[in-house]
Amino acid sequence: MGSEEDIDVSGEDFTDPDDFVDDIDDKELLGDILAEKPQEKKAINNALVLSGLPIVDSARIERLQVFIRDKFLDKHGEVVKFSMPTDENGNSLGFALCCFQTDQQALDALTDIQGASLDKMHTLNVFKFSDFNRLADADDEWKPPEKAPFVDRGDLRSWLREDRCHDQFGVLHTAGSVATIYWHWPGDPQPVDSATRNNWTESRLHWSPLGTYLATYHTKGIALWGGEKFEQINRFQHKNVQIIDFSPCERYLVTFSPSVTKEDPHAIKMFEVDTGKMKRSFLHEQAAKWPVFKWSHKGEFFARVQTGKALQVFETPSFSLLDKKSISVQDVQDLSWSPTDNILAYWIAETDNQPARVILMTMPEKREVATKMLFNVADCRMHWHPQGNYLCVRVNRYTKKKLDADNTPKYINIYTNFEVFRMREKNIPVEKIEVTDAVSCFTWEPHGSKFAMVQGIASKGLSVVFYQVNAHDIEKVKVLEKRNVNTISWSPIGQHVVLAGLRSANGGLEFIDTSDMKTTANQEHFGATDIEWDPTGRYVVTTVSFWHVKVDNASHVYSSHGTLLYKLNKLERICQFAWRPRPPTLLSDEQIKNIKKNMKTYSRRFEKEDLQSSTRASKELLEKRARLKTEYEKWRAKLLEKFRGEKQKRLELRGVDTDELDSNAQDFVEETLEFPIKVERIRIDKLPQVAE
Amino acid sequence: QLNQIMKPICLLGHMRSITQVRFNRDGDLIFTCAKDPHPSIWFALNGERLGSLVGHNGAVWCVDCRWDSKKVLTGSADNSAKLWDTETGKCVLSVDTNSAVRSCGFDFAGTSAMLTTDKTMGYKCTILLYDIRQDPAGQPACQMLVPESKITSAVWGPLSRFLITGHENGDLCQMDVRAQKVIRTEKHHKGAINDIRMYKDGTMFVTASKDHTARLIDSYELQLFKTYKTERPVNSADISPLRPHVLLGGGQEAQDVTTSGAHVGKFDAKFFHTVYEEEFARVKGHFGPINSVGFTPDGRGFVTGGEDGFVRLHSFDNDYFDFEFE
Repeated sequence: MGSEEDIDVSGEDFTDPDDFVDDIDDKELLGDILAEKPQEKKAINNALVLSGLPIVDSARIERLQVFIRDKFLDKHGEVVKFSMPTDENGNSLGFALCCFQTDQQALDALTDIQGASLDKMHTLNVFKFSDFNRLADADDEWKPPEKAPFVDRGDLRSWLREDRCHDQFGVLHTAGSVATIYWHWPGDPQPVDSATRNNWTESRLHWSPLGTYLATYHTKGIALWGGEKFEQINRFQHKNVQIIDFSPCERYLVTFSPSVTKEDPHAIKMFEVDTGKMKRSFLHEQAAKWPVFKWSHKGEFFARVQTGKALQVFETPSFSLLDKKSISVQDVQDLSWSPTDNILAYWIAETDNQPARVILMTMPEKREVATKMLFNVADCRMHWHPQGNYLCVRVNRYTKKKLDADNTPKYINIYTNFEVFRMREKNIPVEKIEVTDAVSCFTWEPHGSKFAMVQGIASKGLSVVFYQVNAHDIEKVKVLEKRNVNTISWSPIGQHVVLAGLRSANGGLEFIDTSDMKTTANQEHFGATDIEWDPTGRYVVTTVSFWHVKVDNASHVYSSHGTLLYKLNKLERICQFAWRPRPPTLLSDEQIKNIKKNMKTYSRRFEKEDLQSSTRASKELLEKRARLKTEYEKWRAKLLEKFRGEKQKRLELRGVDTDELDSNAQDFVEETLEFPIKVERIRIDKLPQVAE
Repeated sequence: QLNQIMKPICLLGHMRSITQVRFNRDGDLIFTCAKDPHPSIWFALNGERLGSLVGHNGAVWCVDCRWDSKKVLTGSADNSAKLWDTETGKCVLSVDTNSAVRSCGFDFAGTSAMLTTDKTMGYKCTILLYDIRQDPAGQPACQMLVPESKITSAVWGPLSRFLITGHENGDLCQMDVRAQKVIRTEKHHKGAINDIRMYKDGTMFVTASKDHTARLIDSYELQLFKTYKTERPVNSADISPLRPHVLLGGGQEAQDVTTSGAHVGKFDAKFFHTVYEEEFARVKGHFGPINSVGFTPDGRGFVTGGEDGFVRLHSFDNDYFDFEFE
């Protein structure tokens, strides 16, 4: 507030003394303005050098420029500057420079067009302008690169070599704050050493598809653990990661996080598991089911649908589009890979003048191997047989179609067709089954040729129906009526199946042996929310998860025939029970057949071992024996010392070294002994007469 | 328990009870002697007999083969000990003693032979050492009288610096015969020591005793380390060179013997774990008490000789080598 009177300052001198230097720097005064000052460094990171271009004369240089910009650059962003230097005659020199508006655009372009071929003789070689300086300044003399220190991860598959081939499982309990990995010793699971950790994961546990790694979620990203002691293998940064997916070969990890920022707008990131490097990231443009990118069985390709427009098939390890372009498919809705071959199945919605289609295409050749036209299609869902032997496309068909006010189609009287593609037969024949009732829970039998589904609506009573795919037809083999079932869970090795009513359906469990369609047991785990078979098909575990129900959280372990073996209820507030997957067997089909043939001899040995372990020595006895062993070894060590000390004398006494049976092997003389195995006496005069 | 069916090779060569079975160092020859006067030599490979040693006139109590397999030593109840050439079966040396020869053995170098003789009327139990590089003409290089309990079993100690002797009263002694003194005496057993067998490196040995036990003892200080208990007198024991197992063969008290009509005999050889002292297997087959046992030098089989005159040669099958205590 100013004072009442004005102060007369006319006589004062407010000038600075001559030698005054102020102590406020520009940054403080003009900070925000300075931030907008064009930064020299920045300009370099958005510039790219394109080399490998054809050398053209002045007449065609204009055409080349337009071609390059059109085909490679414009789609990645605004090209602020583009220059193609020429020599004195006006011919191009084989390279061009371009600047994008942002660094990210330049980076995207780089990843996308690097290595793209222009024609038979020219391939684009693109690099960042900033790299150019670095490369130009590089030492003329070659210095060998520094060796990166070898990180020995140990044996990541050590758990497979457990004596009795027991599996492991992970349990997230105590409301998610403690995770423990156990050895599944039936009846008496034992926690693995150093594998009980607090706050190991912030949301859930996720095993990699072949069981090698355990992935845990954290605010900063994902951590992978493995090896005998579950040490940390790698970390992958992705803030607030929500959900992940592994490639089937475990080489790559895909993460999704809804938290995107201006600097990092990519919601989906792909990492290389071994190195931890991020290989590619993607914007998440349209709502889609996870996984957005679907992997081929060997991890060579991953693909996603641009609904209604195209299939984008990428290849690894370059992480760029196969043949540098998407596959344009009008009205494409969804895709699905065969689990055992590089075959991509996708379906196209019907339009006014074209029926819907399901197309099977091989990759990378992009050859169509099967097509099926479908009429009156409302929706399709693809279900592959786990061994890739069949593809079943569930087609929701309608009898009448109406268009709503806003032109969205409304379907009347929906019924379901199942189109079964026989993948292993010549020309992939397709067979159809029709079902009038509502259908849910379609599942294939692994390693078999049956499939099952739930038919009907809850109010009228649900049935579970089993079909068998035979050589010439598909037969309905069994209908089980009045079953309150919402989950069909097959054993991973086939034949056995559990029909379960999970969550709100009271936890009824029916165990069925599908070789004769007989129910082997009926059990109940009230309130069960999840069901999981172990990777060998020996055990089934049902869990009441704390995430869904706050009381009675426990896991029950059943045999494949439905006998309750034991309950895991000592752990508090179990949230998740997850078996550790196994890699596929190394045995050939032939070897498996042989083992099944000789089952009796193997059974005998294993029954003996089981008997031994059930009468397994108590802990005290084992400790006593361990003590005796150490004492004995100490005693022997002392005696052996004396023995070794006398070696010289022994040599003197005998003249040769006889300490071991083969110590004087050089004196051995090889002798061949012949023993007659059979002696036969034949009287010569009794020989059969030879005809003259 | 091991339930394997092992088919043994049966060596039928003796008319009377077996007294000792021995292997040569290489394990390809088996030497057997019995209460008949003709010890035999057999091929371990197939049980074929190489031949028998003819010369003794009474029961042969003991036999030993020199480390180079070239010479055999036998001691007999006919008051003599003989040295034979293995290849030809010829007797190259013979010495007379005052009483039955109970134990015999080559020293480490194979240049001396030790004999122990029984105590009989007028004669004390004696230890005799002979230099066999030339005919000793019956004169021992040195001898030592054992005043008290007679020697029932004797072996050379490490580097043949002394003898280890087992006595009728259960005593165990280290005897330096050349210095004529008893280095050490220990009393671990309560009954006569029927057999002593050295471990392959000579650092420890196992004793088999009438007191129903066998014991594992160190050669240098005669310190008792392990005891293996059975219900019957133990006639013979041996230590496996390959696995931590001890083999015991024994007899029955005379009053318990019954005639057995069974095809396979009921008398068994017992296997114990060396460290845990627990019995884990029995192998039946003999029709009478087992008098002598021995592992093959490579540990892949064993041989037993019984009161019934049979010698049985067994080979272990794969179960044996995989078998582990927890």
